[in-house]
Amino acid sequence: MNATAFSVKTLAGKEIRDASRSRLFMIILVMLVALVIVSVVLGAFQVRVNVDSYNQSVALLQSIGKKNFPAAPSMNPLSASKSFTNYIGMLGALLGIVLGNATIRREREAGTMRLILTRQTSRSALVNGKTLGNLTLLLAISVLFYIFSAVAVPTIGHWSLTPDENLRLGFFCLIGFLYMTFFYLLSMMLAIVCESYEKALLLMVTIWLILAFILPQIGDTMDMDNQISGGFFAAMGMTRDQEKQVLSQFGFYEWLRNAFEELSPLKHFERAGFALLNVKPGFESNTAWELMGIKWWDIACLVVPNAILWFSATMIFKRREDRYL
Amino acid sequence: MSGRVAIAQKEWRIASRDSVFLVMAILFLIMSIASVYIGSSTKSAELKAYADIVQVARQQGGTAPAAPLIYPLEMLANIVDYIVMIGAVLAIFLGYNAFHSERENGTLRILLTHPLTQKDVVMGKLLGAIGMIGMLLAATFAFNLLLFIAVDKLVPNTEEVARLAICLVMAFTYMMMFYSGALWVSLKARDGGFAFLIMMIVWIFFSFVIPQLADTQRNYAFAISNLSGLVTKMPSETAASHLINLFSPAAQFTNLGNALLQADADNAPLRLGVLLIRQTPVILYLLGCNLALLILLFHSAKREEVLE
Amino acid sequence: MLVTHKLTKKYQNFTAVDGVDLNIREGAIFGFLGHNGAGKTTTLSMLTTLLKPTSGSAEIDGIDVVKEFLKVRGMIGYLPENVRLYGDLTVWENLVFFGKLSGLRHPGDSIKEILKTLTFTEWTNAKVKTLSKGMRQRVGIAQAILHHPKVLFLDEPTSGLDPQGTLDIRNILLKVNADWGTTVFMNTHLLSEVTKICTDVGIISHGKLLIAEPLNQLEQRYSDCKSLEEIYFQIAGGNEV
Repeated sequence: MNATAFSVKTLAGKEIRDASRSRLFMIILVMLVALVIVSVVLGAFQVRVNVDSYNQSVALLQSIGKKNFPAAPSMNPLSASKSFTNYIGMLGALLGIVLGNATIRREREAGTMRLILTRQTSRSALVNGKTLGNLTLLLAISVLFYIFSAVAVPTIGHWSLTPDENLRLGFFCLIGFLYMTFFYLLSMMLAIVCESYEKALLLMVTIWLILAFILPQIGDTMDMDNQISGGFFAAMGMTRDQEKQVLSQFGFYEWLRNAFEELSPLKHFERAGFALLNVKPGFESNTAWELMGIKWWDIACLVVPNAILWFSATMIFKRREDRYL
Repeated sequence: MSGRVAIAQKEWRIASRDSVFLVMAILFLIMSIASVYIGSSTKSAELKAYADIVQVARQQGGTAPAAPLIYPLEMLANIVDYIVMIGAVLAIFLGYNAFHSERENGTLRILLTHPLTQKDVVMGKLLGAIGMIGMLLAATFAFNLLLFIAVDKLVPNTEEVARLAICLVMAFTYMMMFYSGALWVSLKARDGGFAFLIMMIVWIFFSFVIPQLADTQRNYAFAISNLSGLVTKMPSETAASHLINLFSPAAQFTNLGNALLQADADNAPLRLGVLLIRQTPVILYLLGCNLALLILLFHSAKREEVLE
Repeated sequence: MLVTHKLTKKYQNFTAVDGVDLNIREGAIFGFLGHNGAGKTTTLSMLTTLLKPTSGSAEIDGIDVVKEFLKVRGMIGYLPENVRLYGDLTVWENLVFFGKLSGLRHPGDSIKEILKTLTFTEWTNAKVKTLSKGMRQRVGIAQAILHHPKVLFLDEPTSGLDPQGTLDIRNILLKVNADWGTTVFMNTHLLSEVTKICTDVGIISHGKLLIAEPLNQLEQRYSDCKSLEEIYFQIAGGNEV
C-alpha cells in the first residue's frame, strides 16, 4: 500500500470512529433504525396476512374436495420496504448533512486540520479519505437495511423472496445510498466553501428544504390527480388511457410540473425506488436489470451530481489553501 | 420595559443582516405567494379537464360525472405545508443561537450587568421573535388575500377572511413553539451547530417521524381490513393513528390548518363557528405546548449556569 | 465604595472564593492580582451581580449586590475578558443598544462625547466584526462608561493587546478616573500594568485574599523588594524567574 492509499485508509477509519462517538449521528441513526424496524415488521406482517388468507382459501377448497385452486395473488413482498423511501428521504438526507458538515468542522475547530496537512497527506487524500470513511458508513446503513428486509419478509411474512426480488431490493438500497451520498457531498462542499461552518449548515438545510420538500410538494400540488382523495380521474370514472388523453391537452402544464420534479433528487430516488419495490404499478413483469435500464435517467440524476460534487469539493479544497493554514 | 424593547430591536437588526435568515424569510414569502398561484392554476386545469370530460360525454351521448366539489379557500391550503416545513425551520433559525451567540461574544455578561433580569433578556428576545414572525405572517396574510382576489377573481367573504386569519394566528402559535424550543436549547447548548441540529432532529421527529408512524399504522390497518372485506376506502385516520398523531404538534396543526382552509373534505362544509368548537381541543393543545415551553424557558433562564 | 464581607463562592466540593474581605475607597484604581484559577473572575462576577455568593455579602456604595442587584447594575460598568460585542451591528448601534439598557433615553450625545474622548469617531459606522482586537476593546470600554458608572469593572482589559492598544486603554482608564472620579476594579495578571496605573492592590490565591492595600503602602512594607513582581512572589508564593 503506497503512502497516499495508507493516508486515505487511516483518515477513513478515523471518520468511522468519530461518527460512532457522535451523539447527533447516533440519535439520527437510532431514529432511522427504529422507523425501519417498525415499518418493515408491519409490512412483513401485511405480507403474512395475505399469504395466510390465500392458504386458508386453498384449505377451504381442499376441504370441500376441489382440486383446482386459484393461482396465488401477487403478494408484492417488496412493498414491505416501501416506507424506507420516506425515511431515507428525510432522515437519511439529514444523516448525510450532519456527516458532511462535521467532517470539516471538527478538524477546523480542534485545530487538527493544520496538523494533518503538515503530515505526509495531500489535500486530495484528506478529502477522499474523509469521503470514503463517511460513505462506508452510509453504505453500511443501506446494507443493514437490505439484510433486515431480506430476513424479515421470509421469517415474519412467511414468503420467500425470489433471486430477482432480492436483486431489486439490493438495487433499491444502492439507490438509497446514492441519495444519501448526494447530501453528504453537498454538505461537505458547503462546509469547505463557506467561511462559517454554522452558516454552511444553515445554507445546507435551506437547500435540503428546497430539494426534498418544496420542489416535490410543488410537483404534487400541480398533479391534478392528487387533488381529490382517491384521484381526480378515478372520481371521474376514467380509464388510464382516457386520463392520458385528457392530460395530453395540458402539455405545457405537465412539462412544468415535471421540470420541478426533475430538480429534486428525492423525486429521482422515489421514481426508481417505487418502480423497484413495485409500489408504482406497471413494472411487475420487469426484471431488476431491466428496471435499472428503464430508470437509467433517475439513476444518472443521482450518480452524475455526486461525481460532480466529489470532484468539485476536492478541487476547491486543494485550491483554497489560505483558508486552512 | 425599555430594556426589553431595546433587546427586541437589536434582535431585529441582527436578523435583518443575517443572509441565511433573509433567504429563508424570502423563500417563505415567495412560496406562500407561489402556492396561491399553483393552487389556483391546478384547480383551473382541473375544471377545464372536467369541462372537456363533460363535452366528450355529451358527444358520446353518455351522462356527465358530477362536478368536483371545489372550495375557493382550498387554493390557499398549501400555506399549511409551508408553515410546517419552512415556517418552523425559520423559527429555529431565529432561536437556536439567540443565547449561545451572546455567551460566545461575551455580551450576555455585559447585558446582565445592566439593570435587567434574565427574565427581561428572555422577554426581549421573545418580543423580537414575536415581531418578526408576526410581520412575516401578516405579510403572508395580505399577499394571500390580494392574490386570491387578483388571480382567482374572487372576493372572499367575511367567513373566509376569518378562516385565513385564524389559520395564520395558529401558524404563529406553531412557529413560536419552535422558536421557544430553539431558545431553550440555545440556553443549554454550548455549541451553536449542535443546538441547531438538535432542533432539526426535534422538528423532524414531530413533523415527520410521528406522522409517518401514524401513516404506516393506518396503511397497515387498511390493508388488513381491506383483505377481510371490512373496509374498501382508505380512512383518513384510525384510532391508533389518531393516538400516535397526538404526540405531533405538526400533525395537529396540519389537520387544523386544512380544516380551516377547507382542504379537508370531512370538515370543509362546516360553518366556522361549528368547526372552531370541534377543533377547540387542538387549539388548546397548541397553546398548551407553547405555554409549557415558555415556563420551561423562564425557569431555565433564572439559573446562574446561563452565563457559563 | 466597595465593601465585601466574607464573600464566598462554592461549586460542589470546590471553593472558588473563600471568605474575601475587601474595602475599596471611592476613586481608587484597584488592581486585583492572582495566578490563573485563583478566583479573580469569580469574585468579579459576584461583584457585578452575575453570580450569587454562596455566603458572605458585598456592597457597592452601601447597596447589597444580591438583594438590590438591579440598583447595583445601574451603577456599574463592566468589560469582560475577550468581549466581541455584536459583530453585525455598527459601533454606533452597539453603543445605542447598551446605552438604552443602562437607562439612557437618548444616548446619542453621550456616545458622541465618549467616541470623541476615545478618538474613535471615524469608526462610528463600521461594523464591529471588521475592527481589530484593540479597537473592539475600546468599543467595549465605551459601552462600559457610557452612563458614567460609579464603579468600572474590567476583566483583563489589556490581555492580547499590542503596546499601543495597551497604552490607549491605560490612558482611557486614567482619564475616566480623573474626570469623573469613577472607581476602577481591574482583574489582571500583568504586574507592569498595575504599577503604572493602580493606586491600590489586592492579591488572591486559591480563593483566599492574601492582601489588599494601597500600592505605595505595600511598596513601603516590602521596601527590600526591588519590584512589584518580587513582592507578588513573596506574598503569593511560587518561583520568580
